[in-house]
Amino acid sequence: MALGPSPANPTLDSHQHFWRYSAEDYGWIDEPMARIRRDFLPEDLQPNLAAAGLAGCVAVQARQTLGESRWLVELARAHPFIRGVVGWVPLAQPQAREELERLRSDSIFKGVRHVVQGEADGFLDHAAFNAGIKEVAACGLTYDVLIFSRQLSESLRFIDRHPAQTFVLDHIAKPRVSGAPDPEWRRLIREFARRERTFCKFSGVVTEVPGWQWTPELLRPYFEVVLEAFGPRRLMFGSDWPVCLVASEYLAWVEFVRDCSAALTPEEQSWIFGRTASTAYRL
Amino acid sequence: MHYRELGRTGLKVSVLSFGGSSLGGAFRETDDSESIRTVHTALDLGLNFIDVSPYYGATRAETVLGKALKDIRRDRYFLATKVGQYGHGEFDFSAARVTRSLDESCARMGVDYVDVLHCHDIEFADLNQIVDETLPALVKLREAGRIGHIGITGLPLKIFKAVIDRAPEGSVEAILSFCHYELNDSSLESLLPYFKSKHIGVINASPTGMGVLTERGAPSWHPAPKPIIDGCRRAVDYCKAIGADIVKLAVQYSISHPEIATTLIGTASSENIRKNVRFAEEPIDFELMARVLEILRPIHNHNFTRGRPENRDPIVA
Repeated sequence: MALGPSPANPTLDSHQHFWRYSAEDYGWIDEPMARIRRDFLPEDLQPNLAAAGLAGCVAVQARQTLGESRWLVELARAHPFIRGVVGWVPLAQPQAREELERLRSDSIFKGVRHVVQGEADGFLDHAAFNAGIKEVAACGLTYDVLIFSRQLSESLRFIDRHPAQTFVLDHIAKPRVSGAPDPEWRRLIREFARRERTFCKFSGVVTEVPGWQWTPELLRPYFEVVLEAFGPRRLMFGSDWPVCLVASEYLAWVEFVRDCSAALTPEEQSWIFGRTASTAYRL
Repeated sequence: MHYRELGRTGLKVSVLSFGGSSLGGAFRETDDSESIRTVHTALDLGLNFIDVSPYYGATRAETVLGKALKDIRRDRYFLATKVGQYGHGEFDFSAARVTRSLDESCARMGVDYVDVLHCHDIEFADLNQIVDETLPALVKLREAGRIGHIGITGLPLKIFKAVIDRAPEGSVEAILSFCHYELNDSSLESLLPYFKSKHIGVINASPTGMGVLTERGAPSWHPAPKPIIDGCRRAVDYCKAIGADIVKLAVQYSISHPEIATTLIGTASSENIRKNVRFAEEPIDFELMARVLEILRPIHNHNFTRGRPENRDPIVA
């Protein structure tokens, strides 16, 4: 039985972004985040992966354009350490199926995501968007759920409508990370995890700490909640690089998650650091 | 029934609401006693927003509605009517006329107050007059407590921004759009972020595109060109062939958008109201919806327009 990392079983960062920065396209990067107001390209990520002993990554959309989805596919083709791409298509529009088919004609394209955290409450009940998710399922792609914790209950209704779809919950649903985990968030995370075709990314947590002042003691209980709910085979490490840089160096975040996982068996650790992502995204 | 906030008006309106054009006999010959029962059924099923106009049935719709509302407590419903359009091709958006119009509408309906007063089909008006004369007159009525809120309505999408950008902030609080958020046309979506930024409540009408998405098909006066009618017919026929109800799908589609507060259902039949409420509450068949959207794709967002030349939308065909 292969326990540790191996070429067939690479260690992975399940969630990061690339961009060529412009103030126009990345208006959400405000003054306090000035540190990430620049280009972030594969050559910037690669040394971080190497230093952390990770073999590859999954690149995730940030901009909601088809152009970006195609660009991520091109980057992945030029840089083999990018093992998969999660892009964006206009799921609520009638051309959703055609665009999904076009993108997935390159097998590096693994899934889609919409920035639901930026939408009104009730967005996940939107009929045209749900019709688009049926097309995602029909294409055999995953869907990354990017929400704030207040949207968890509508996300449960949403997931229940699509039993054939694989869902990946991004950033543990972005709870406000201050003090002990909110019992309501914990309850809804457990509810989410009861759905079998769901996975969860432990990523994007440092930036949910008000003021970005985090300590391992503050974050560890959040890891415990998602580990208990999803188990190592449905939980994946992600960095959310370069967004994480406003609150943490790349390596510090990787080491923190490794510390959290230290008490697990080597096999369980191998799931969190790669095999879960390989399974969820069919890498 | 679900309820949503209508912009910043403070009105929490049912996602399905009652479109009173049907009471004027817009879609077929109607029987007033059945019309009255329909209004009562709508209220009993939780619809709390009623839309009408003196134009519908040349005041008949307001008169019938007045009979229906006679014994209903005023706090059980929100009422919207309109000013400026009175007969076929008969428009008058002058301050004096619209002020008198409110009095006449209130008298016909037996109320002393309307919650929303819209300028009706302003694509037929000089928008300078709407901004400089009509809206200020409505603001006076609002200040006097005769109306709660002010809206504008029309078919072309471009009229909304044209007026809202020029009117003092807060004068327009709601818009009513029709035929632009339905299975074959979702072009209203492009304006939703704008309305949100202006805190304007959005009312949608005609989930079936004034009949094109029904088995009965479009009425003879329908302004859509043949390719739209035929394209919609293909979706209707597809649903019929597999035993699905396209009206159900159409209603579910239109009411599901979280940024659209409510969608008007125009019917003068209690049975239809019940059916629509049931549609709103039943689960949506999203696989079917995806197939129907695919069938409609060749004509998606294709449109028709009307009004003064400067107020018309560019044609998408």
